[in-house]
Amino acid sequence: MNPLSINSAGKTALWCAFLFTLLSFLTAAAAAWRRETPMGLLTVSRRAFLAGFTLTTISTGTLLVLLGTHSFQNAYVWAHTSTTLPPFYSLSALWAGQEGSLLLWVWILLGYGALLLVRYRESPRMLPWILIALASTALFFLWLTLHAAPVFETLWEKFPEAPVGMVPEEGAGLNPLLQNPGMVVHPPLLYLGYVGFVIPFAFAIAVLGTGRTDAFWLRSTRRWSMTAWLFLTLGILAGARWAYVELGWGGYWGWDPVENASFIPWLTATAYIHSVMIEERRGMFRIWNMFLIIFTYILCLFGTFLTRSGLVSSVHSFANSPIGTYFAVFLGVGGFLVFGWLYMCRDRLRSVHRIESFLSREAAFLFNNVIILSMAFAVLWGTIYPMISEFLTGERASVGPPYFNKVLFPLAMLLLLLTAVGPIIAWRRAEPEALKRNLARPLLWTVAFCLGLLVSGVRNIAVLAGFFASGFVLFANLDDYFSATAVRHRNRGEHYLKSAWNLLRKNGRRYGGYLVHVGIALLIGGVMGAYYNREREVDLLPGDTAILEPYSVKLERVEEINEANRSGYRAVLAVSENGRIVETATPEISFFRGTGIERQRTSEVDILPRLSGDLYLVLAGVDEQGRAGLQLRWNALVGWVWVGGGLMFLGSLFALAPPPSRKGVRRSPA
Amino acid sequence: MNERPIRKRPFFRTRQDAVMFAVLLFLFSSLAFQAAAKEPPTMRSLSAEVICPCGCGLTVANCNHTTCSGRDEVRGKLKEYLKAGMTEEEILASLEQEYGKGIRAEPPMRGWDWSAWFLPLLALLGAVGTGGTLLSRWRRSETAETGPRVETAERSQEVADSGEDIDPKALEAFRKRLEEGE
Repeated sequence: MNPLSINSAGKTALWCAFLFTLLSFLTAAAAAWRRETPMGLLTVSRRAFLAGFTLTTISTGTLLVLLGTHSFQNAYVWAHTSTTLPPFYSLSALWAGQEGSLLLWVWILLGYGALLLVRYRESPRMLPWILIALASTALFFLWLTLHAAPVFETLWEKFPEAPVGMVPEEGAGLNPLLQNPGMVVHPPLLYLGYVGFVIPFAFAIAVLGTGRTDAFWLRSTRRWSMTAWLFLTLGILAGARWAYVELGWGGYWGWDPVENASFIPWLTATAYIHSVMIEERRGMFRIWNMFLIIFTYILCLFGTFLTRSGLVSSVHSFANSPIGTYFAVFLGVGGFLVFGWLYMCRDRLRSVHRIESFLSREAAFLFNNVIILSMAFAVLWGTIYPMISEFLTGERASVGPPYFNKVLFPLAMLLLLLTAVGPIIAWRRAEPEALKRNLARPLLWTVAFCLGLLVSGVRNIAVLAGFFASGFVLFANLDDYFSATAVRHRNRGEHYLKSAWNLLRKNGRRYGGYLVHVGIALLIGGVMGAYYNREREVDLLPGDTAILEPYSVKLERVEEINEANRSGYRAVLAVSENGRIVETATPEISFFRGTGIERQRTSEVDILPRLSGDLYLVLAGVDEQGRAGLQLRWNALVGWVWVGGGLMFLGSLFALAPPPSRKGVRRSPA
Repeated sequence: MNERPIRKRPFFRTRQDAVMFAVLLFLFSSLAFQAAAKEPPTMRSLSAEVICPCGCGLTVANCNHTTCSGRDEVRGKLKEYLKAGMTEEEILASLEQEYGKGIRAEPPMRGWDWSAWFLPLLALLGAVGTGGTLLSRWRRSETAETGPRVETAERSQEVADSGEDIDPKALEAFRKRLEEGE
């Protein structure tokens, strides 16, 4: 089939998706307007939304075909692929540029909406409002992909000076930094997270629209919120991993504005996931939870706005483009309307119960929320401060890692202490004696752990404080879990391991949460390890050796690389640990081909992972005499960041899994 | 003449004052800890305090351009200043004079830039204060209405959050009613 016809088909499908989504929005609005929900209108709205999703799927499919066949008549395909690009990366170019990533965004949004509509069997009164919220956001993004950032634009439409019908022999190629498996999964995971919050957001709008303020909407959206949170967590971790293995500076988090843009909604979503438990149990914090989920979704859109507006300089923001203005208007108007509406409904959202004691889980969760929101504010403030400073003083200040580390460190410590106490303290009112008893053992373990660190030579006070706080979380959560296991083992006579498994499986929400806390404690431990990082820069000729205790690195030879999409050098290094050769490492330096990225160079690092720390090897360059410039780094405890991330993933899965059903009892759909 | 017994005024009038004081103490002691933990400047620590002038937006320590003249120039200067025995603040001030305020990886603590540091602290104190006030008010009214009740953590360990405490029959009836409505 002619590529131009495929391009036209994609564009037509996208226009039709826009029209069907508009129909869905209008009919849902008409249905919401009536006092009695008209089922006919609702059915039209529902089916139009599903048609919009199907047509966007077709449109996304056509773009994938164009990318896979290197149809350079399409300006987006030309700008982000080349004939030498491996097929895997040709398809992942769907989210390499602004236009494609916006299409992916709206496809995921409509997909989430379609999944909800297919599964939704609860209140029909809420459905029109849910559809209004979903369709209005989808319309905005569809309009962007059709008008402001058109993805099916031909070369001669984008560049009027180009002759009509022109087909270049070669494309500009994909940014080399994106040619990494980590970058293939990072953006879609992040988008699944960002967009996933649209479902609880839509339910919040439905609560405002219908006035049905009981905890029903929280039960209906619990799994959706957890799923979105899980994807956002995975997206952030995948991005960190990508930065670690691809960017070549030895770190995984640089407090870059775009990283911050994903971290801020993660924080508010974390606060929401905790505070909804109080509303479900005690009917408290209703207005607060509504605010949190609306704010989280707006922050997700704000993050996209930051990435695309060119307001902040970042290693991975898209070029300055006019869609930033559209986002600003959409966010400004939408935020004003929704928060205004929430304010007007405040009386209907009053709490049923009140907090009875400072010593209660509710109070611990309240302060957990306060601290998390303060952290979110600090990150947001630090991210936008350069712009504000420039606007007010005329001189741009930089806000980099030292600022964020200093400001967030005490807040993170406070939060960790609450994370240790929160799961142990009782609801409503705890007995001080019982609390002391429950905390004594974990505290003792933590003190012993920190004494062990002191004896082994850790003297830095900030590092010790960090290990103390994360150790306290670890021991408090594990202690409570094993105590509960022992109770179950004693009461039911099950094998101890079976009790441990059953507890996790039957009460996944609680103990899955514990696993997430343990993961966070390990991750923070890994972060604290950075204090002990070491590095050396050396120039080696073949046969020379450099030492970074306990490793010695010998340059065996330098090889030339000549592949379809890149050329470069590979240093072959024999790595010895305590005098014994343990591995042959091959860090590379690459020059990627492609008309737009000719001679762009990237480093492919080699890493020897150990739980005590990674040996991180970077080839910085090779001179004419064959001398290799190498950076040797020892990144202490960094492996625990990934172990902690893995546990967070596993814990979230347990929290998401439905509890095993009892005989004759149907499971709750939430 | 009758002498009134002198009542000792508590140091903190309410519990939320005590919480606020504890938060303040924690924050300041944490900053003091961080300051105390600071060691003499090294090439590595200084590289993390300075933004690369090449425009990448990363610190000199993190700039990943394999050949970056801006980074190499700043690193050369850092080596020179360290050799001359300058303190960290002297080194940063010299670089600021040459490249402008943006070379520092964190806003300096002076003038308008104080707000970068001050505002997050203010937000936290405001939030803790509001939370504490709400909590105290709620606690008073709730205790007056219901009286004390205690639920131990052990009870919640087995049953809490399992979803088993939701009456499945009521839920099923509710769902049926909705489906009939549709």
